[in-house]
Amino acid sequence: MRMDRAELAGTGAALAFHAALIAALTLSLAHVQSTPEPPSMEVEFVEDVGLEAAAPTRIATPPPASQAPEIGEAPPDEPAPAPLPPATQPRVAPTPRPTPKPQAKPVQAKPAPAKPTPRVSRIGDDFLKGIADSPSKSDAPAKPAAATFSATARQSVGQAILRQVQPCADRQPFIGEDANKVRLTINLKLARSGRLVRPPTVIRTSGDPDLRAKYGDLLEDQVRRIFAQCTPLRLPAELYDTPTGGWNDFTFTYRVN
Amino acid sequence: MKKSILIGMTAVALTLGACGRKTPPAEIPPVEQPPATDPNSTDPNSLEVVELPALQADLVAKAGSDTIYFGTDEYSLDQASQATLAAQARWLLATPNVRASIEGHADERGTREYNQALGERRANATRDFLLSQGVPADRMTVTSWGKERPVATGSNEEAWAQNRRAVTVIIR
Amino acid sequence: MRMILSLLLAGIASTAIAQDVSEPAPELVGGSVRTNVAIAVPVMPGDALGRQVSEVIVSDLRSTGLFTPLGPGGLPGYSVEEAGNPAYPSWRNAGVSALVSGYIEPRADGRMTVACYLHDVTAGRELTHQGFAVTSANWRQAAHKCADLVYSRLSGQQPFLDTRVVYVAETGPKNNRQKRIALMDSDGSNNRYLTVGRNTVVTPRFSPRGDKLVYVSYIGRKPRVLLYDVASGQERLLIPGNHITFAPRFSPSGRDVVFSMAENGNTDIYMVSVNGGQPRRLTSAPGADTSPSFSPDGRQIVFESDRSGTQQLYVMSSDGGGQRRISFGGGRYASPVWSPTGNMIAFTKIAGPFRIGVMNAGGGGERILTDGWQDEGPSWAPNGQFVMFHRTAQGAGATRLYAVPVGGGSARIMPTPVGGSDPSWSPINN
Repeated sequence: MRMDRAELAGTGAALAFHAALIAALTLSLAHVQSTPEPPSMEVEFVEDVGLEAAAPTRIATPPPASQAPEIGEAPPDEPAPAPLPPATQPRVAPTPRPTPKPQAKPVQAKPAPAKPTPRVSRIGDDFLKGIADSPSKSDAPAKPAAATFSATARQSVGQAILRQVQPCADRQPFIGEDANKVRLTINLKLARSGRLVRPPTVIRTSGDPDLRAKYGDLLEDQVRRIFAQCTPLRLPAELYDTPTGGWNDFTFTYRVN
Repeated sequence: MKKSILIGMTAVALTLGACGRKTPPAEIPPVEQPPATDPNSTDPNSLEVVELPALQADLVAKAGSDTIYFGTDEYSLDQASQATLAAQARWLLATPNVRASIEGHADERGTREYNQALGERRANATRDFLLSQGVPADRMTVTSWGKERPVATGSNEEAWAQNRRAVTVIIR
Repeated sequence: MRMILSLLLAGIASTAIAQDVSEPAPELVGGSVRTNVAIAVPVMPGDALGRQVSEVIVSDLRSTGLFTPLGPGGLPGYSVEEAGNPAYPSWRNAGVSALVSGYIEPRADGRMTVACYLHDVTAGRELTHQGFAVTSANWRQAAHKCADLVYSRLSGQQPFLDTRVVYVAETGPKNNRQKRIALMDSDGSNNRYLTVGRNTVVTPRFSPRGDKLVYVSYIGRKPRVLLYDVASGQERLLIPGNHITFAPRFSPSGRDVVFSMAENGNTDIYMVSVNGGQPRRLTSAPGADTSPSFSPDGRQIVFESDRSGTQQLYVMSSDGGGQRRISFGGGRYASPVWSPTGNMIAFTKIAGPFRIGVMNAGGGGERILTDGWQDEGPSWAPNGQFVMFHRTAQGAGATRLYAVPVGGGSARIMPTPVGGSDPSWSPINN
């Protein structure tokens, strides 16, 4: 089929955008994998899990700049620490393009709540801001557009969950010489509080049938004890439930050593 | 009651039997069968055996000993044992109205059931030798006490050596 | 061109999907800590017997070697209504992982119900419960059943606590030892004598259903095999005649008894029906063949024989065919017993001292379980997890019964009123 100029242009633009998307994702992925996981911090709300967007921060999350409905509103929590540049904060004033200003004012104590002026949605100009933005002034590398539950995020969150329950797992008693030949696949449903919504569900039990019959219940007992003792879990709120998944639903395997 | 009647009748029968003959009876009862006992009886009380202590003492006095000894896990007869048994045989042949229970024993350094088998080997070897000395088979019965009846109580080689034995017990 | 676009999009999409699927689920590994479970057993409400019931449960659980039981003394009480609904946080604070609760209530038929609950305190939930109806005279059995319920649920093993032991009670000096057949519960209660001690008795063994015994009694100066009915106390000679017979054991069906007979310097293994009749000869090799024991499926018999020159273990089929040696370690092997689970054989290993060992039923995998001077005569618990045996001391020769866990651990002395030997562990009571 022959294409005319318009089709060619459109196709080219589409290709270019797809390439850019792939590049952005690929680059950011590669970048994050090389970042060592930051140490846990004794903070009340967040466990640093090495997200692309994260710098060690004292607030729950910086609200994603490009979420359309939120753009015009003041961010709900914003005891803005110094490192957070004003550039990432939605401006109260209807400035079309917030530019990085050398304002080191730490006391944006409650700027937003103090000015709850309803804003007009600013979808048009700012909609792609998150994608196209240059890296923020924080230490973090390039942010993704939204907090997506990417493969890396999934892995990091999974490791965080298991790390938090490992002390309880370590305490589980010996139940038999061949108990380590049975493996349970467990699904958890978690509330935002980090507690279980319902008891852990055994999706699958693998191993020799006689050993499964002998140890299956005992292993399930152990999982239930582990998650009764070592919860609530402390996990990043913005990854609880995203369009691509979240830690509200977590599947893992359990066995004894 | 019943037992003493049986024994009494046995004694009478034997005595009468001995009266008219100088040679052993033509018919030899089966080996190991105590006379006048129902071989098919399942009544435990039908199996009682009576010891004769006075005659036992006489055997010891005349034959030198009623006991021979064995090496560890052994049931062969050394020279001393054979000499003792030869003397016992002579006594038995001279004392026709009694029988002998040849009883094998083992020391405590063996498991219970194996020692029961070992005791029987010792008793059997002893009985065979007495047979070879002319004692009639029907006058002897063999048994094993395993390690149940030690005479020496120590846990040392000296005590064990005393317990590895076969004893000729004079019974009715 | 449109096709190129579609392929691109499909490629991107599949890459995204592939990223999700190719990640295996993360794995959590539990610790397998060798530790005793702290388990609380407060006094059971509902009847004055409640304290004794709890005490028996505590003693039973302690005997398994898996628990550190607490109570009943020193623990808070609870009401009948609270038995199924304990205050888990308080028990967690008390530092226990598990809780046994329950109650006792009378029944219309004059018996009583003992209700038994097991709670996982850590997880805050009930694991299991069951009620047991018993006469007030038989309250101990309800306690043993409750302890078995707890033990089974928390260990994954079959029960073994509601059982009896038949053994030989021993009194007197070594050279004038009085022996009597004795029967007791596995915790040492209800001990009674079945014989008076006039005749020397050895090696009593339970029938598969626990309703009969075979044992050896020296009657008329010879060892005889007797068949004894536990309920009635009636007994009879199993093999008539004047033979030296010993080492009896029931077949798994309970219809036959294997035993040894010694004759003319040779000891062989025979089998006879419990109803009497002519015994069938199973072995005929020169040598001492004894201590036969059936496999639980009734198809094979393990025994000891010195046909090779020293005592070793052999296995044959139950008709005497296919006799083959299975012991090849250094030393001598005696008194083999096949485990009720079919996979192991316990034995006495003689290599200087006498020790209790186990090996795989096919031979190999030998493990020595005890460390006494003279440990012999093993008998399996019905769940195959423990072996009972007797230990003889040097010198005065006092003998006591011990039980040792097959997985390893110290042997524990059994509570007999006087000395004991030749234990036989019953199956689970009714």
